[in-house]
Amino acid sequence: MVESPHEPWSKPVAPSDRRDAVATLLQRRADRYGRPNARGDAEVESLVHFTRAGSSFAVSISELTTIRRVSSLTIIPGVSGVVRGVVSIGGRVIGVHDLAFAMGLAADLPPELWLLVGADACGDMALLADSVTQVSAEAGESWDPAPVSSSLPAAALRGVRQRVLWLRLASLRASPAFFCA
Amino acid sequence: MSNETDYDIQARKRFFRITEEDSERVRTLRAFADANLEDVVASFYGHLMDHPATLKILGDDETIARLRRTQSAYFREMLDGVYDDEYMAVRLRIGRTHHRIGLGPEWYIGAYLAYVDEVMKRLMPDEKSDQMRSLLKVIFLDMSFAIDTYVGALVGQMQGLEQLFTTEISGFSHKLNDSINRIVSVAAELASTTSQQAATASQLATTTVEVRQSALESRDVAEGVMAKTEEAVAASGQGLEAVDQALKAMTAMQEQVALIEDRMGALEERMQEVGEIIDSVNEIADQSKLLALNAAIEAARAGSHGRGFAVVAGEIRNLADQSRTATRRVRQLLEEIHTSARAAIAATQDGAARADEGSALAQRAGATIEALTTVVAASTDGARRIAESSRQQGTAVAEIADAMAGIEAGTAQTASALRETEDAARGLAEVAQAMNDFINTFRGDDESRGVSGGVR
Repeated sequence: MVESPHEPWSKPVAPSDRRDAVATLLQRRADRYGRPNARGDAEVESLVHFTRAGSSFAVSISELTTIRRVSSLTIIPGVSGVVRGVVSIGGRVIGVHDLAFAMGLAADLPPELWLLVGADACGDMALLADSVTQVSAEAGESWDPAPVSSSLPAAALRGVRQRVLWLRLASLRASPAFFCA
Repeated sequence: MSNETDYDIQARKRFFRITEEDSERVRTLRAFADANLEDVVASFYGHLMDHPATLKILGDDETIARLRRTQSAYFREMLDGVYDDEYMAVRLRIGRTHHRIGLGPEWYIGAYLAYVDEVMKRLMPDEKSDQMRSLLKVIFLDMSFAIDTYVGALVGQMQGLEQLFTTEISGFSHKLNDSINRIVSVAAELASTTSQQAATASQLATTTVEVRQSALESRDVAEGVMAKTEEAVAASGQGLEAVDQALKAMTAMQEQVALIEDRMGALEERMQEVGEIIDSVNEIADQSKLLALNAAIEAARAGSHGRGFAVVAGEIRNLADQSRTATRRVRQLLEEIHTSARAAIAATQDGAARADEGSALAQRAGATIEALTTVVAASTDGARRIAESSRQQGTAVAEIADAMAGIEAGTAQTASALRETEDAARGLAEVAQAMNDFINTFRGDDESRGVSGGVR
C-alpha cells in the first residue's frame, strides 16, 4: 500500500510547502516506477467494489469487519439524511450511511440492502450499497488522485480510476460536510 | 191446248158427226174443185184484200201468189175425205202459222165463211142456198163472237198468269239481285278477310317457326342447365364431404390445441418451479458470495496467515459469481422460454379460436351447401321440366306449323273459291239483269198484244 506522507488537500498548507510535497510525491512515484519489479505483495491491497445510485465505489477490505445483507433498516428520526437508519449486527447497533445522500444523488432504498461494515475513530459504521460487484487486488499507485469534493472529506478519497472512487472508510465521517451535503 | 197429243181426233169427228159417208160425199166434190177452185181462191183472197186488217197480214203480191197456191192445196186436202192424225197435225201447224203472223180467230172464221160462201154460191145456185148462205154468215158471226169470248177468257187468264209470272219473277229477280249483291259484297269482304287471314296465317307460320326454334333453343339451354346443375349437385356432395372432413379436422385440431394448452400450462408450472430453483440457487450464490466476502475480510484481518484462506475465499466468490452468472443466463433462457411459451399459448389459443371460427364457418358452409344442394336439385328438376316442356312445346309448335300450313293452303283455296264465287255472283247478276230486261220486254209485249188481239 502506497500512501503519501500527508494528504495535500486534507489541511491548509502554504503554496510553497504544497509544491514541495507534490514534488516529493512525484519523485517518490518516479523512483518507484523506475525501479524494476519494485512492486511487492505488501503494496497490493484487496478492494471491495460496490455500487450505489449508479456510481461505483471501492473500499479496502482491510477496513471492513463484515459484509451483510439485510432487508430493512430501523429508521431513526431527527438524524442527518446520510444516516438512513440503524441495524443490529452481533449485538451492536450500527448506523447505516448512504453515499448517495452525501453526494447529492437522489436514490431510494434498494429492495435488498448490502451493508459494508467497518470502523473509524468513532466506532462501527456501515455503508449502504445496491450491490457488491467484485473484489480486486489493487496497487495504490495505479489510481489517480481524486478531485476536490465539496461533499466528501478529502482524506476519505484515496483515488479514482475508471469511474470507480476509492474511499477511505476511516476518514468519511471526519468532516461535517459528509453529514450536511 | 197447244199439244197435239191432247187432241182426240176421233172424238172430235164424232161430235162433228163426220162419218165415212160424209168423207165419201166430200170426195165427190173433187170434180167441182177442179172446175171452180181457182175462182173460189181468187174470190177468197179478193175478199181478204178488201179488208185492211187481213190485207196487212197478207203482205206483198209475191206472198199473195204463194198463199193462193198453198190455199188451193189446202182446199184439195179437205176433199181427200181422210181426217186422221196427220190431217189434224197439218191443220194445227197452219193454225200456229196463222197465230204467228197475227191472224186472229175472228178473221180466220170470217175468211172461212168467205170460202164457204163462194163454194155454196157455185155449188148450189138457188134461193134456198142463198138463205143457207145468209144463215151460215150469221152462224159464223156468232162463232166468231163465241170464239172471241173464249179467246178473251184465255187471254185474260194468260194475262193474269203473265202478271203473276212477271210480278213473281220481278220479285225473284230483285231478291236475286239483292242476294247476288250481298253475295258479291260478302264474297269481297270474305276475299279481303281471307287475304288478311292468309297474311296473318303466313306471319303466324313464320312466328310459329321462330317459336319452335326458340323452344328448341330453350330445350337445349334447359338441358345444358340440367347438366350443369347435376354437376353442381355432385360438386355439392363433394363439398359436403369436404366440409365434413374439415369439421373433423377442426375438431381434431381443437383437441390438439386443448392438449397443447394443457401441456403448455404444465410447462409453465415447471418453468415456475425452475425459476424458484434458480431463485434458490441465486440465494445460495449470494450467500456464498457474502460468505466469501466475509471470509476474505477475515483473511485480510488475519494478515499473512490468512493469505491462503483469502485465495480460497476468492475462489468461492468466483464460483458464487459464476453461479450467479449461470443462473442469470438460465433465468434469461427461462424468460425467453416463458415468452416463447406464452406466445405459443397465445398462438395456440388464437389457433383454437380460429379453429372454432373455422368450425362454425365450416358448419355454416355445410348448411349453405346443403341448402344449395336442395336449391340446385330443385333447379335440376325445374330444368328437366323446362326441357321436357320445351320438347313438347316444340312438337306442339311443329304440329301448329303443319296446321298453319294447312290453314294457309285452305285459305288460298278459300280465296280461289271466293274469287270463283264472286265471278259466279257477277254472272248471276248479269243473268238477273237479263231477266229484268226480259221481264220489261214482256210487259211491253203485253200492251202491244192487247191492241193487236182485239180482245176487248
